[in-house]
Amino acid sequence: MPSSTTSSDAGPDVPIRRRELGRFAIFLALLATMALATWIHPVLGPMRPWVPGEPIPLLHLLVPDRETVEEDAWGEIRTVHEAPPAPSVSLEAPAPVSRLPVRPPAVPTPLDVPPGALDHWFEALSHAEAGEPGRVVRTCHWGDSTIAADGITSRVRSRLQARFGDGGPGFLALKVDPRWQSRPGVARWVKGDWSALEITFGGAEERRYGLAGVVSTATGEGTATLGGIEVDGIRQPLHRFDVFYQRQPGGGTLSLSPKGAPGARISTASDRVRDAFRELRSEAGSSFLFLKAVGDGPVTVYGVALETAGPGVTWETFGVAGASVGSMLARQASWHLRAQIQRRSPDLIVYQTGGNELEYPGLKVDGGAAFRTPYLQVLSNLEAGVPEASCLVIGPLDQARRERGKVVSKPNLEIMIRVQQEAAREAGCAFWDARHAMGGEGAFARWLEHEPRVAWTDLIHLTSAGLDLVGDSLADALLDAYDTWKQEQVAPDPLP
Amino acid sequence: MLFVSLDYLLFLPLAVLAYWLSPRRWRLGVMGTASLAFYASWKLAYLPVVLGVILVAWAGALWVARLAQEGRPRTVPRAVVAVGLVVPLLVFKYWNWLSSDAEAFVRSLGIPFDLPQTTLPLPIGISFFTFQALAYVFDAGRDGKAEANPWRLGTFVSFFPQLVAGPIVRRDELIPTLRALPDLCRGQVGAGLWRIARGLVKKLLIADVVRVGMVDPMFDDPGRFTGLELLVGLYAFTLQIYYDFSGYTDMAIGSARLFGIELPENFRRPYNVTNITAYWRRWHRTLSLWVRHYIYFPLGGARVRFQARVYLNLLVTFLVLGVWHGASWNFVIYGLVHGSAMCVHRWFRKRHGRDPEDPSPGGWWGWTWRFVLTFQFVVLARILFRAPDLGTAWAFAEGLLHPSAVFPRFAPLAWAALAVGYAIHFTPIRWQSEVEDWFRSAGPVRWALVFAVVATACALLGTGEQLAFIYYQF
Repeated sequence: MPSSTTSSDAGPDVPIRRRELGRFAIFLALLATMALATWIHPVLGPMRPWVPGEPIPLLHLLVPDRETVEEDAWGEIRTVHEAPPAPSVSLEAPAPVSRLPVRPPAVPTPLDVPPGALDHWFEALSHAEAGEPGRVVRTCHWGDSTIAADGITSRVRSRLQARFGDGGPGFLALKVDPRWQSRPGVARWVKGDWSALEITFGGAEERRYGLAGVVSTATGEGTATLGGIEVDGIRQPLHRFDVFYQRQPGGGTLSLSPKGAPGARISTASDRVRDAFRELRSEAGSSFLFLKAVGDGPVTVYGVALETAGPGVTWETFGVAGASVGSMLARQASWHLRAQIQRRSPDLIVYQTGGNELEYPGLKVDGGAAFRTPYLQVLSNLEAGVPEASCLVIGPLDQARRERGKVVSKPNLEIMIRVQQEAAREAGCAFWDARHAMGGEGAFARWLEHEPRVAWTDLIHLTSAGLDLVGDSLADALLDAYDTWKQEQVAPDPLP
Repeated sequence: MLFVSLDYLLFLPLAVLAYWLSPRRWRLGVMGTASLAFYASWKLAYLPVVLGVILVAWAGALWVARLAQEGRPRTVPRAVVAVGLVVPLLVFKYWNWLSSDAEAFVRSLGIPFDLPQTTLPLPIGISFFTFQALAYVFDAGRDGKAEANPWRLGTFVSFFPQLVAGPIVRRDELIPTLRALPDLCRGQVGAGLWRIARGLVKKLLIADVVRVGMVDPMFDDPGRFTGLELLVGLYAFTLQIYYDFSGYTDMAIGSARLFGIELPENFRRPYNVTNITAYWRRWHRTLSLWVRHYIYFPLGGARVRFQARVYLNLLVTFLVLGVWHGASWNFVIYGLVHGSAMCVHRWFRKRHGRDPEDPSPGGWWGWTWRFVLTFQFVVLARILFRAPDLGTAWAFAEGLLHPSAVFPRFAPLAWAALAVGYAIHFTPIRWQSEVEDWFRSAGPVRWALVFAVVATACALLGTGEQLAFIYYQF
């Protein structure tokens, strides 16, 4: 406690005050010297307390705010820095089309569709829309953590299924890492001795990971129950089950039982490792498919495609956290993936990565030319299974980093998106700029400030609400492109 | 002007030097001016609010003090002044909540009913300076002593180190000091700088790192996390709020010391306790003392005929304490939950005749289970504190019931901050005292070096953002 003395300037404590103030002044002088010393060498740059361009300390408080103090959603007071204004159009993105709905803070962003790039899928959609019996239009969507928990894809699926009919959940892997991968709403209950290997970590026999990039193996007894979503409290009836599995030396027995329909018992034993498929049908419709590895040997399953009687569409999520061009090329055997895709026979192939490759050296030289080759190779591998399928490339979402207290977009995103867009054109794929849909440069900072929260503070991922916004924007763009295509189909040929 | 901003780290030494280099008769003026400038830096429009509270408190206290000196009844005058002080708090902080709930209730009866909603921004720290002014008026009405100098009273209410988030200071703790304006004591600069450095580390290297790495994503989107992750997130928030608030308090106490002023402590290792009563004696102590003096005691406290009334008094006191934190049902329930726990503990304590700070009976095992029980209770109640509404709180609590064997996915730095934070909290107090003693006696060169190390660590390991202190919102 301080002394209770009431000394005046001439009192006995003055020497103590002078001594204390002297020490304080020396401390301040040394601190100021060290702050100035951070300008000696650029390596000390991050330690600089202030750099030109930033508000001048104290003085900036005298002028009208570029930052405001406000309450956030749960009442917390925070300082809100002025985020960069949202550009109306990014350099590479197509101009917004007014008929696309505006969903702030998202920006309407149409697809970039080279002639004919999506015709196969549109044609299939038109059949489903016309109610062609049994027509299930399939979309396989590969990606990274952005879609691993069914972010974006769930909104696109529900929007398309609302218009074209529900084709079922599509392909589901069995055992997935619940931290990253999920398909909310569908039944996927896995019990027993199942283990899983993902393309991001490797280790699978002969680099076989199946469509979803994750392969499940039961080394003992294990069961799995798969089913579609619930509608009005009732699990949707499924009519077709296509099991993607592996035969292997010493392989055990796999029992397949659609609820209320004849099942099958398969021996997965073989003289060598090979992929196999088994289709089951349920005429009356089954709410669940029960799989059981009886425990007489290892049973390896890539997943099961589940479909309704149609007509309808599927939008199948093959997102793996950490997935990248590297994991697709180095970890996944292309011949295996080609055969898996061939069997699934999608009408539309969607590829959406880029967020995990921003630090690739190839992206940083020659305008990303060295990255373009492997990227094209991935697109080629995906298209090889079903060459007639349409193809859509989706660019990465905006990501950010903190620079001197400000949230700024990562610098390599522009290059990444340009390379992807060029590669898409070369491969004959349509392109959708997801970053533009967020608002382009500086979007993450704006999304971070938005209420309700649409972006995470890790500056990489979006919240469920944010992913829904992007999903709706993508669905808007897809449906708009489809409607345009339909109008072109009925329009009379121009006069010669 | 956040305490962790460069603005404040320049403003503070300028204010300190201006204070000490001014003639003695000007010092109160310098301190008051600096305090009002500090408050105006948040938003100029806030300034009339704090000035209005000061004016009402000054005039009201003189009025009720005179009545007290004359021995006249002052219940009604005191209530009138109290209402005058509380009106801004009600308008700015509670109106929208109360009016929307009232609307919903009346509409549920089938009667169309609309009340206007305010879009006024919440003045920073309004609960703190309102409660400080209220206590001042109550004290004046009790013993008839009021400050005649409005500037001194204004400085008492608005003293910038404690203006926006406490510690809540009572009249006799600060006004005599503002009259005497004591000189600097030996070691006071070192002690002040130590608390500022400690506060910076607590806030920037632990609270903010844990917040950005663990807590915010968890409450932004609880549905995307496993039960284990939510549980870790809850422990992280429990740590974050302590380091955030105690870090702020350290900087407030340290800043005041540079003016030769001692502010009361607000924390004493609050999680290192074995019962809820001891927790409230160590967590936000100045608020706990405030509600004890001005709510619990006037209700009769424990000096009532029936024990049931004591429990009712406790519940009412904690209801006020809960609602003080925020205008939502979360905080109503938070207060009642803690009040109920206090009642249960009081019942057990009276049965065994023990003081809350007594060593736990039953040796190591007795200490452990009491500690675990108390700590888990405090942690779980934090859901109500952090969730923006009851729906999110419920979703979060439900999510905790979904177990998962997978290792929670958080950044290594956030894990490290969590581990170091809890480790420091449970280390022997004497270790920290030894470090503090070393710093105080170290001298300006080592002080500067320590600050340089702290600044470098913050630049390299911190979030890089200036995140507001949680308790500024109250």
